[in-house]
Amino acid sequence: MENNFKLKKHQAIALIIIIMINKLILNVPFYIVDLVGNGAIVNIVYISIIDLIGLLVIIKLFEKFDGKDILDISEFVGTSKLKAIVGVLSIILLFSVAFITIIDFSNVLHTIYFSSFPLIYILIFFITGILIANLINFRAISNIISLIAPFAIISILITFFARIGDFDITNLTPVLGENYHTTFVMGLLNTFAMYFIVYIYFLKPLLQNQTEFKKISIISYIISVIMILLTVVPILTLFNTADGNEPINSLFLLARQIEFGNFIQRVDAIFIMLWILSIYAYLSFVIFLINRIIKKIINISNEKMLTFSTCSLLFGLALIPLNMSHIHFIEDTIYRYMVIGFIFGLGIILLIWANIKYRKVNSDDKK
Amino acid sequence: MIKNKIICVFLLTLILLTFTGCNSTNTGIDNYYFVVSLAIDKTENDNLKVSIQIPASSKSSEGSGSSQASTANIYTVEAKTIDEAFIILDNYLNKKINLSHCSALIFSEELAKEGIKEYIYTLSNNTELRHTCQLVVSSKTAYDVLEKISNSEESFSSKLFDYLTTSSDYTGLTISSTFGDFFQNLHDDNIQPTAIYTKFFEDTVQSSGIALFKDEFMITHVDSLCTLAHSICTNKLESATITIDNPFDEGHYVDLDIELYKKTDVAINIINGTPYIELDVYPKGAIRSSGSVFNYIDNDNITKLEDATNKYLKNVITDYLYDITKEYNTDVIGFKGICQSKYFTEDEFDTVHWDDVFQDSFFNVNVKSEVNSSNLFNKE
Amino acid sequence: MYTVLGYLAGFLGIAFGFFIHFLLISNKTSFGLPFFAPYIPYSNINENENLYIKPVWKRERRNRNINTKKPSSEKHISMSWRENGK
Repeated sequence: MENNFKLKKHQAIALIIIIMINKLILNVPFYIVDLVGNGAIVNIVYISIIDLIGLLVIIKLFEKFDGKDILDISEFVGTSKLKAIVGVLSIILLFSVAFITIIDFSNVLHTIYFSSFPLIYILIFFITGILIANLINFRAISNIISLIAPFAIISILITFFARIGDFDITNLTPVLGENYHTTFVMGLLNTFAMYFIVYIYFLKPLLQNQTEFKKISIISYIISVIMILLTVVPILTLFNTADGNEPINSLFLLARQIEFGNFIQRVDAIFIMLWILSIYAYLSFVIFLINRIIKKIINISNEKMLTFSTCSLLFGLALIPLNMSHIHFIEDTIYRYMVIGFIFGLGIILLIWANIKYRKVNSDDKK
Repeated sequence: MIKNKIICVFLLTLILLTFTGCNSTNTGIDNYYFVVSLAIDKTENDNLKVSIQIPASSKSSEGSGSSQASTANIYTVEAKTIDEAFIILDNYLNKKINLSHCSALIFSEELAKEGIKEYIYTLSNNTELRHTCQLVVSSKTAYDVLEKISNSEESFSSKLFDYLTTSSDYTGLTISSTFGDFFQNLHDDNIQPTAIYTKFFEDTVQSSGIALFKDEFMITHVDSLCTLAHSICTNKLESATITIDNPFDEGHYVDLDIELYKKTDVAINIINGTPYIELDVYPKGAIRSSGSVFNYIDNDNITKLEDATNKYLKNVITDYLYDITKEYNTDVIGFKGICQSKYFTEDEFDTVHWDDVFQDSFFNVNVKSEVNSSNLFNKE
Repeated sequence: MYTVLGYLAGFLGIAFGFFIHFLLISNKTSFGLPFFAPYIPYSNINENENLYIKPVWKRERRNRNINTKKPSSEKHISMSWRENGK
């Protein structure tokens, strides 16, 4: 029964929101602003239109394949060899996402709150939590995601509206940034902001009702765009990064200065706890997904015990002694190309190929 | 099964106990000195003189309910950087220093003129320091401010520095300049930072005006009347009291309580390569007291009073604006950002060469005041 | 338990404890329903299972989630003597 647990509509939307929020917590809005400067608002509207078109194309191409994800489609297109290749590429992407997330957030915690703790101590807490979550079952993970997602959205809303009095609107101008080339041509690299589309490729088999796939994608897309705007506008108006000053975690620095009179101050402590929980939930889901992909590639019946090896591998990767500058370089540069390549390259090509083959197979059958 | 579970729990507890060494035991409230104010000066051999002010623990008398300290202790060290000073202080004081309750950061004017960017950056990386603590520039040394405050006859507490935050609400003769605002404006191209400026009168420390900065360097300080003009132009005026010449009685004065009933409008046009800046100011006045007798309900009298107010405020604001452009060349009001909003791209705005032409700006200030009530008990 | 975790690792320990605790109890069922129903997983919040409950005379329907034999527990106007004006 636990293996057959399927997500309902609101659980799937909460899952995608948690995926997006974790990217916002880890400084992705700053990388968006860093590339295009003051034209970030126009750039976000521009890339959200492009990403929406991409998403609608993906949803349309997925229509004929109910209950299948990108791995099943690659098996349909090629043989199980292509499925293995696509699976390995997905695992590499997901592992790199997970290990960068965990090491970046651990460094942030280490800098802000836990200066006297060794980094490995913080990592152990994260890895143990993810391990136990995956040993229980997916239903528990989706329950905690449904609990945390609304509170995480509320924390972003509070951070925005509490600081709205300090916004310097003149920092949003000039509206189109440095020049047209930077905002519209170089700004295309910001399409990685809608990072959750990577997970849309794996979402369909997890859903209870396949017909709700389109609704889930579009509702979560709209919420994601709103949240990105709500995190980018304070960065533009409150932090001026023209002299190359990079904040360690822009959302934390915004939350640190919230004050409601003399009574409520330094609410960043509560927000940090919420964000720790959302990182836990997100990483548990990523490891669950990795286990599923491995299960599909090598055909094992119970993927729960794989959790020990995947978590150990994640722990080992996280122990690679990386500088913060290396981590930010990977997040800023390598991810952009990996995510854009996966979403608009590998995924769409496979889907188009699968649709052509499906039509061919069907017309041959009719003959 | 039960035996396995017991072994598991026992091993887990053992492992957890080994982690107890990672946490520090010296983190209780009793192990910290909470600094109320931090003062930074420069010494003759180019080192920093860092002084901290800590409430001294009072000897509690029986039956006393208040837990506030009655005096303060000031500790001073000389070091090359602020962090080194903190380490030296941690070394010889018996408790660790904590900046979570620091309410004032004081720099001396001499140090401010040499540039304070590196000290601001050092302090902004301190996770304990709040961004709402006030940034003050002292006309003499910063240490003198701490001494005068702690020697004042009132019982010492961090509330003594609250006047720095609250007096801007009802006097208009000072501004609220927090560390966070200063840090933000330091990075911002569009506006230059400002700070509260304090002077010494006999045995007291008073905030008198603001210190104007260009980037990290202090240029000058201006008096309270210019501070009023600054608050009006930046829309930060809560309320203030001004004294104008009585239009009905020479040699006498009228006091008015003013506040802004509408935000100050700023329009900037570039004419022949120089900025032409128009400001529309909308103060609302209430008569507080008049030195002579006149019927303030009469419309004609009100109009005359409004004209006098307009003329007075126009002179004050225009003088201040020409000072900051022609004499000091520092854009503390943020005109650059307002001009920038008229252009679509930064490349287009760069053709204006704002930084070069700002000094030649022309101003036209229109004050449209409304005197529509009074705070007088008698009709005349 | 939370005290120990808080001593060991501060906020991180408490968040870790809360995470594991919530995972374990959200898996439980109570009389066939999930423990946190109807909030997690969210289903229609029915009449008598909200944060507040209605006065006794207004509770007309039984809880729909537990598949009762008789869905309504009282008539629409239960205090008919008040309706009749007596």
